[in-house]
Amino acid sequence: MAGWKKVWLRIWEYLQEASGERDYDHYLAWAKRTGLTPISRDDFFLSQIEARYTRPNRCC
Amino acid sequence: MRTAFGVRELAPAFSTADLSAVDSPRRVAASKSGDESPHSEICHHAPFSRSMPAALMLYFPRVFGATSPIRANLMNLLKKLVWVLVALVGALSLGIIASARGEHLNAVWLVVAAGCIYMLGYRFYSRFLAFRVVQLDDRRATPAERLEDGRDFVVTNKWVVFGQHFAAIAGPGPLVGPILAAQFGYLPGTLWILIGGVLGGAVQDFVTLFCSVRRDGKSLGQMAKEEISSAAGFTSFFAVLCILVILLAAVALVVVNALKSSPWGLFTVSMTIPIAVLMGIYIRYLRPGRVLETSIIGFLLVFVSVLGGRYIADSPTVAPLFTYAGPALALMVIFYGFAASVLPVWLLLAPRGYISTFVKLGVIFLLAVGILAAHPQMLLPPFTRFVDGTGPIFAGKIFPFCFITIACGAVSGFHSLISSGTTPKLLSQEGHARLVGYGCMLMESFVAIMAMVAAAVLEPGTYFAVNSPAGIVGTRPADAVATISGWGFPVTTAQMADLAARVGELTLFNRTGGAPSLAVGMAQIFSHVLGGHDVMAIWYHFAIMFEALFILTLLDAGTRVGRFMLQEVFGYFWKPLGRTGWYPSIILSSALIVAAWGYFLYQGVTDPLGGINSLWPLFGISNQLLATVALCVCTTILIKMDKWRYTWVTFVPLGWLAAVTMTASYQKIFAENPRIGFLSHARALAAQVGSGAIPASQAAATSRLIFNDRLDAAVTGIFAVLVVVILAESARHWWLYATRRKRPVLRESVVTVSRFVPSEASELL
Repeated sequence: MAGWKKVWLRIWEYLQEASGERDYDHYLAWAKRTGLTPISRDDFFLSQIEARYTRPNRCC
Repeated sequence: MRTAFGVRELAPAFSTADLSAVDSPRRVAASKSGDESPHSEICHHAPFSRSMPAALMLYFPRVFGATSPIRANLMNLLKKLVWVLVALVGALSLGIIASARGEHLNAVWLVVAAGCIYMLGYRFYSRFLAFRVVQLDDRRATPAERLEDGRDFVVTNKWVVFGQHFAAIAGPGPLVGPILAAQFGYLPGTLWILIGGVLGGAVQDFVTLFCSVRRDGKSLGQMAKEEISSAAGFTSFFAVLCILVILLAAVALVVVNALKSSPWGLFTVSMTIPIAVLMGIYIRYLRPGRVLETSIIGFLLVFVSVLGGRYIADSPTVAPLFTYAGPALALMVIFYGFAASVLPVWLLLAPRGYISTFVKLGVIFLLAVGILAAHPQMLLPPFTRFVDGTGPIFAGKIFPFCFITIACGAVSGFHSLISSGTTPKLLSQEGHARLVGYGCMLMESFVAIMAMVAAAVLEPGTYFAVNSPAGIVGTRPADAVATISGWGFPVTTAQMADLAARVGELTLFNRTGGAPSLAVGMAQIFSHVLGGHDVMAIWYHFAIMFEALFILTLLDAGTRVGRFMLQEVFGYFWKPLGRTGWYPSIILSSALIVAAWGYFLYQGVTDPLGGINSLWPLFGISNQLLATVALCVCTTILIKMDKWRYTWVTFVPLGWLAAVTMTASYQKIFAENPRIGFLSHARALAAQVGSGAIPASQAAATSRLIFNDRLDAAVTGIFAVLVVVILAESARHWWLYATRRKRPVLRESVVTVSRFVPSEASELL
């Protein structure tokens, strides 16, 4: 059972990464490394989705 | 917080041959006890407590030991044998597919053949491309590493990039194209998907991605401008704008045809709009950033709407509110596209994007499992009589029309935009470009194979009854079945009525565009595996919802991108119009883009020959035009890298696509057959008007049809000219480089050592 739990956890983590849910965590880690002041989570996600939809990001 | 998908820095590069350098706990324990004899490990551990391979290594160290040369040779031989086996299984499957005549073939053979070919293509051809042609170098820092900014340039795990890239390139194209091309039988389309995918599309995606990674994530247009010329850059920009307009019109037509006279379908798809708005508000104000949670809630609500659609369709008072013909639906879609483009992106567009991505990937996975579990028989023959060019869905022979009808599953120029978009900014190592660029395209190609299977499991008579336009087979069911049965594909009105009832539709006749027949095929496969025929209606409408969902997402995202491109152009003439946040500019540019694709959509909906006959070839030609641009850029860069002997890897698919695109363009403009040539169709209609064969009440509509034909001919001509311009400009530069009249200047980014490789590798740079 523990094995299956680990598998589901991995799948959930993967989906979180692929969907961009953890992008803000990565951004915070980068800001901490570089010493810059991070923007808020709300501003971050707004700017990310704005940027995503200014260029072709979905194929036919 | 580090997850399993973090990227490890300074990961030691070691192979299994180096395992002897790693101290095992056993060896450490033996050395601590002072007993260094070779058999000390045997004495300290129970002999049968480990796996067979480990036991073999323990008891026969000379043969199976980690450093044993015999073991290394055996492993190499085993690997080679595995690949020989894969090749034999693939060849056997292909042989069975190619030689099947008069009997129904099981779809599993197609899936097995495709799987083997993709595995061999990835293992050998992509490896050749990666290590010989472009020479990927993991020691070089990628732009994600050098320019890391936590937002656009982010070092990302390769499997996460793989998932994101696949989600971006997987669209309706590989699902719709094979369905339409199945009119030739399943074999021509299947062979094009397999060969085109491995030797063309995957090569284009991979090499474009590599080129962009080496150029700090520059877009295709920027690379065309810098590596070829400004004319090539402009051609690329204009080609993207044109393909966007035609693409959006073509996919919108697919949705309109899927929802015609379908109250259940329209209700379900309509509900995705308020559901998306609710999701947008939820993720913006209630649970910021919780994408998965919001997507799960959205998916559950959408599924409830699929189930609820049955009650709408069965209600005599409510059903008429959701029952519309093509023109009215086209206007609704046009209005929706405009609204989605001008509304804030977080409110509608982004939430639709989340839910459509998850639904799309889930359904693709389910379809693969369903085909393997149900192993259905393919009832469509390998070739039909319509290889002669008289097909009802679109006119024209296999060459060139099969190769432009199936674009995204084989070679798609649009993929080069994705490969030179976000993805190159996320790769942590150059080596990952092989998996992401080449591997994702093979997966997309596999999706196209599954769509072909979904078409081929239908009775041929049913397939043609659903996909043939009224202008060819007639508006009355009795006329349609008589015509189709006369072609040699028996079908009856009772059969079609029964199928329509089972899937919860009023009728399945003249439901062109590919989506309804794909949904019927998928429903048959899914219901065979889960739920049986009683739930076929739910599976059908689930499939319609899934297709409509991501087509509409593509529609609003594409409209928005087109709006940005127009604003960029307008900004050169008047600066305020170039401001992307200025509402007058947003409304003007959105209106123009929507008007452009809306016009072609309306034209397609009112076309008596079925809009797919004219729009889908236009889309295919424009898509392959963009592929031509991408392959020209790739070939030029290979030449500049002094890889003359390997330029054939991009030049051969380029030559093929140029031949296909130019032939298709010529035939669509000048062919004497009015079903193929736009101008001959316009002439035929004009002659009918002149002779009085067309009543005065229809004169205005006929004039519009004549104008549309000439417009389509002009658009096709523009595409052909763009292909010639980009080819001529590229060839001119290649000639200059070949004759050494111009020195090739490679505009790659600065070389720095990656922190993701062992430090000793830096000596090699």
